[in-house]
Amino acid sequence: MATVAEIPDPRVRTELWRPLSRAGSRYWIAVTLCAVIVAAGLAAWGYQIAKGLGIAGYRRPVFWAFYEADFVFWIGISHAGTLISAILRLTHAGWRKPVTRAAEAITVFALMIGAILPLIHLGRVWLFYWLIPYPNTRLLWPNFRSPLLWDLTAIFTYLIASSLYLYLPLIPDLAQLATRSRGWQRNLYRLLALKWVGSDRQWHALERAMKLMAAIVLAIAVSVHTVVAWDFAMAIVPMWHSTIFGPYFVVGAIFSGIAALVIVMASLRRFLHLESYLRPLHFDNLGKLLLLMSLLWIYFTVAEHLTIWYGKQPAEYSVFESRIYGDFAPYFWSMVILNFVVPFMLLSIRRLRSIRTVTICAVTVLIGMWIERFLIVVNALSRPRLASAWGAYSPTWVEITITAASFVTMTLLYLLFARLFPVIAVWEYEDVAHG
Amino acid sequence: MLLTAEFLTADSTVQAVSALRAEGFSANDIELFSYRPLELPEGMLERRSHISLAAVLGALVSGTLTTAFIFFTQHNYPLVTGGMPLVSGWATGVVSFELIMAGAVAGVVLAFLREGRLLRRDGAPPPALKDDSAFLRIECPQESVPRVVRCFEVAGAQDIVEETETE
Repeated sequence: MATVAEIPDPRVRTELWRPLSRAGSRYWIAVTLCAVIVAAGLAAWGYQIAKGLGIAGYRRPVFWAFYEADFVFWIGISHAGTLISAILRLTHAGWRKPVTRAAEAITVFALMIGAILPLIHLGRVWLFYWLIPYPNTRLLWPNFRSPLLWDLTAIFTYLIASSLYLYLPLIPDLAQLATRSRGWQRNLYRLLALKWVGSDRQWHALERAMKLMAAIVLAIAVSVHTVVAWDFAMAIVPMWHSTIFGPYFVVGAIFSGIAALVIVMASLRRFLHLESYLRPLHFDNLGKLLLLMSLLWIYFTVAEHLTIWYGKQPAEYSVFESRIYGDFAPYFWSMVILNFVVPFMLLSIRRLRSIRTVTICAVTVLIGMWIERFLIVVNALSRPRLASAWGAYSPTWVEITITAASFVTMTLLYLLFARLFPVIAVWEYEDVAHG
Repeated sequence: MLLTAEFLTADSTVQAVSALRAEGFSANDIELFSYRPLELPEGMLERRSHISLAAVLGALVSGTLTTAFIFFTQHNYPLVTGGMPLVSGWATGVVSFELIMAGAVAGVVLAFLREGRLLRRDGAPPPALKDDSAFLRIECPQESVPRVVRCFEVAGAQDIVEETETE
């Protein structure tokens, strides 16, 4: 087994399990605040259900807007964990060990949030089951040609696979936690640990299963964001109908995923006092990955826009023009600055690459990537082929509240996760404190 | 008989396994318990795994069911198309791919649960794991007990416990 050989330092376990045993008042204040904002988001959604989708900012011709931008954004963030973790696991990157679980949890939570957003966009949410393949009274099955059905299948598969990918390596830690906790936590850990006893058969099976899961999940992750890209690319809408949308979206997804991972790691390091585990090395390596993805992202962005500019087909050029010089230019150039200029300036110079600068870049990238999703969705829709049909869009308080709540939901889920489960796999941890 | 011994270092555990194998015990007779996976020389405690096969089988089963389902839905729709399919192969491919992968995941997880005996565990209860030690357990006939104990002692076992299998 390609795993650790020596007996663990008991201090490691004590430090990594400390957040599970006690939570200070600051933690509960944060949870309460998050819960209030999430409740506000749910209330806004309830209001939208009661009043109808008309209270969102949808106006002809823009019938996809904030919710779709949020959906694509969160599905992109979901690439943080499982994909990054799978790549690092398959390439035997030793530094991955304190990083992977934090990343895998992001995937599961981001997918949960992302999967809810199309339901919010549906309006009549109670009819969501029409997406599920079943024979209705007229024997009309769902349309397998619809990218929405592809989405449903892809996201469902990815959510299941990612949840299991997070859960399997948690089992050994849960078995240990079950022996050291009390009350309902003990029961929960016991239930989730199944019959784990730490035998070499189990370790062997776990290692084998994780290797295979990493390979499978990698394929699923790439397919999921490609399918999300095809939601757009399969439509003959100017600046959507692009052959490179699949890889462009995957690159953007990994880019924003790494940024989300950096922010989560910086928060865990600060608030759970994990300085000995999440070390400058991890941020430096993730900073380099972020820089690489920034360069790839600008390459795809230039490639996508250059051909439109050169071709000057009227329908596409009008969208391009509004993006580069027109109404949407402030968004576009902000996106370029946030996604490329800032990361390139701060991360390409070794001396400037620190935990702080990597985290700052991660924040700018997250904002920039959300703007990118917004631009892709709204900019293209606001400029249909006929100039007489052009329109504008501005979000309402309902959409803004729901979007804000989606971000806070991620924070809330992570707060709860970090309180219940160790955010670093203790058994997998290899001599990091001394390394 | 079941004999369980505690070892304080990874090296002594490896030495004990090596001695037991040299005495002619098979990998199936020996079980190693540790809080973390211990690295053993290749082939010392070889465990055959069928998880890869299960992944392939899961993918095949799911792929077949998905294809059959999509085929059924095409022909279930009472529309006269002159034999043309309602669903293009390309569109079917996307859904099929995702469900093939879901089948592979299901195969891996089910095989993992089975091979790791995570849903049902018969026999004597496992030793309580400690932070700083590993346990070796061996199933052997009564007459082999002295040989096993000697292997354990030479390797530096801290504590050797004998149990009958019905215990």
